[in-house]
Amino acid sequence: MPEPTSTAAGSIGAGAIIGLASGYLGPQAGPLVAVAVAGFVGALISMGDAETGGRWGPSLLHLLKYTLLACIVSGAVAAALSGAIGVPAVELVLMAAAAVGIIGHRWRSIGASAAGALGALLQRKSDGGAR
Amino acid sequence: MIGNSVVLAWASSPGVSATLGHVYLVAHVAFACTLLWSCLCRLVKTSSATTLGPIRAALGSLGGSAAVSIVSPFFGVNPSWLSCLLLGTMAATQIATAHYWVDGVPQQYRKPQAKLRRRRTDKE
Repeated sequence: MPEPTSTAAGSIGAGAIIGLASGYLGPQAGPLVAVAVAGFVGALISMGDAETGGRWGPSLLHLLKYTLLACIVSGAVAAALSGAIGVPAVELVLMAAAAVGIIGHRWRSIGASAAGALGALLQRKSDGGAR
Repeated sequence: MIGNSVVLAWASSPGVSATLGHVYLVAHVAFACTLLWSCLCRLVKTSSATTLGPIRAALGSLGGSAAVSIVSPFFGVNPSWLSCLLLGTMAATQIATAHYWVDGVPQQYRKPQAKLRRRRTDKE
């Protein structure tokens, strides 16, 4: 059986973009370039919010850090979301990469908010069970 | 199209042996790189504490679009004279307004509390 050259045959949206990139750059480099670009765009947006003091060093470090982070974690995030909502992971990976970049340095406060919401939900459930 | 004819006439002139696609490709990538660089230079100076949200969002999305434009030929996009014209005029606008950003974010784009911190070039 021949190896597929596209990772997203027959898909739409992000999957089609990854399929096109795979066609032009190869099945390994194509998706990686697409994810890196999505992460870079997200990191660029969060760089505008970051307090870098107008200096290039911290700004470029911010870009590099969150673009690399998007490349590393977006696959796992897309796979986890795919299991939860039933949409193929290839359709979610670019969105996950962009989201990781956009969240950027605010992951700590967003994580704290999410943990607070989860705690409140658990508290409400345990109160409901006690009644 | 007029744009195609003009570029084709130049590209096929003696001494220039480029196809129309090559000319558009080089112009597209060059303008997109200029646009991305200008947005990077401005985004370095902005922060959520000092700059208005819509300005940060506009600069971020413009820089993101420029980054996507740079790699778009790898995704099967063939640049046209219209995309080159748009990118070129946007890059020219960024270059023309760059001197307002030399000493940081212009006063009109700063948040009210950040306006209290005066810049060297602010008028008395």
